[in-house]
Amino acid sequence: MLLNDILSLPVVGPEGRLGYVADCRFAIDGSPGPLLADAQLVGLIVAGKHRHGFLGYERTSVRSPAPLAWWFERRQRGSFLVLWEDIESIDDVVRVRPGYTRWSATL
Amino acid sequence: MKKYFAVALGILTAIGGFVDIGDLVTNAVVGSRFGMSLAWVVVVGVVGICLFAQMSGRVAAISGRATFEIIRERLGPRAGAANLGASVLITVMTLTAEVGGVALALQLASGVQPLLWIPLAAFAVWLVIWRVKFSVMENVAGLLGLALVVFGVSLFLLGPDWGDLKTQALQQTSHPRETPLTYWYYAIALFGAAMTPYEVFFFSSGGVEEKWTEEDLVTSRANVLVGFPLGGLLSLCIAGCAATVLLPRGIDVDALSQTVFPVAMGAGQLGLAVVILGVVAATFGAALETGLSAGYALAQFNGWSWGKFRRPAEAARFHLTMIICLVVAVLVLLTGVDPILVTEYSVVFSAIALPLTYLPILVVANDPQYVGEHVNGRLMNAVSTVYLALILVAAIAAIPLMILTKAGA
Repeated sequence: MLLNDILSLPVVGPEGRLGYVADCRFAIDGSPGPLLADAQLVGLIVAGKHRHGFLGYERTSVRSPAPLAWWFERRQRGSFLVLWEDIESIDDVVRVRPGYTRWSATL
Repeated sequence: MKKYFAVALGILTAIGGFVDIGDLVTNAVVGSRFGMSLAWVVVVGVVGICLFAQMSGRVAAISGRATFEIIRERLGPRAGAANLGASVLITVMTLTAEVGGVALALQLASGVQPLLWIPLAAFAVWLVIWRVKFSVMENVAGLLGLALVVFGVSLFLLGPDWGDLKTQALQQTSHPRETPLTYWYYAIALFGAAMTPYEVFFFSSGGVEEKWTEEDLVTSRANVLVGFPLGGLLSLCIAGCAATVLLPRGIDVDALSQTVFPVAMGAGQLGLAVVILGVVAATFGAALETGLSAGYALAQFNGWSWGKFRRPAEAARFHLTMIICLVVAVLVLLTGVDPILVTEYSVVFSAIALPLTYLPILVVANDPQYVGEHVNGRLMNAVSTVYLALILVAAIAAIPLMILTKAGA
């Protein structure tokens, strides 16, 4: 599966549509290699209305320039992280398991 | 001593390299139609390109990544690809205009039809890209481009009414033949001519080519902050010449010969020879820069090996891309399309595409993961955010104005 195929897909939970895949969150467990060999997919970032990422403004440490940070913070409202183990299936839509947890999308 | 020499050389090449066919044509057109009343746009554009180049140069020096590697990383593959498509299209359009400009300048020198010069000019561009070392290429083209200083000399020799030029620039005198819409259309064209996206692709990729490090930041800053404003001054001299000679006579600029006509009047035959040399150098240098920029953009985005510091066999796709772009430029020009017209459109489309590359660079220049402690300061952020708004307004207004004014007709 290519990441490109997952990005922007609609996400559906037990309670109905949750939003769209805006980004994928990785953790680099070992030392970063040129091909991200040691990166592992932690989960998907689900955003309510927007299908695109947040240009790095999901990190609380990056707050400038202020108008851009404010704009992307607004866009991020309602977005959350769903862990990979809470993903039930991926085809035309991403299905989330019942009892999943909405983790904060900020870093 | 060596360092001072490097700074001086960098500044000189930045001045010579600042002016390209877009600046030559647009400044002359604007000068002949609006006098100096759009001079403020050149100032605004020069400050903008200084900000943009300074940020992208800093990001390249500290992170070792050029513009399109960053765009791919920050925007992701889809938005990044749309961005790439638009940027490469504008760059190839500018390349077409530059190759056409070389051919027109050679026609002025020789009287031989530009259609015959076009394939030759494109072949020469390819040969230099293929064979000549990056620093030699940049310095020779930039230094020869300094011959355009003759526009400044001519302006003095023409002895204009300086008070009148100043009044035109500061008091916005009316132009009976023009409408406010054409005024604003040409304001955007002039802004696009000063802030052309390829300049930034070239500048940041050049930083990687020349293996800039943190220590080179001072040199790069000096090149930008001194060289570009002096290049802008040269642009104003082009407009000033047109405002002095062409505006009172009601001559519209639709050929390169009209752009250099004031120089022939002010500085005679010698001036004309020097200005033709300058135009050939400036357009040829810009053709090299735009050709390389198209290659840089595609190769960086796709993760191909790129750079003139590698032998062509080690960066085959990068070189192939540039050959294809040059062939496209030649084919477009051989249809008989007017290079001046291509130039006029290319500067407006440059303004339209500008936010696509400006935004990611502004974002990354604030990201400590890329630039560590060298993130933008408060003042830099305040000014560059104002410019983001300005660039967005220009980009959004450009197409409606183009339609309403029938491209400034």
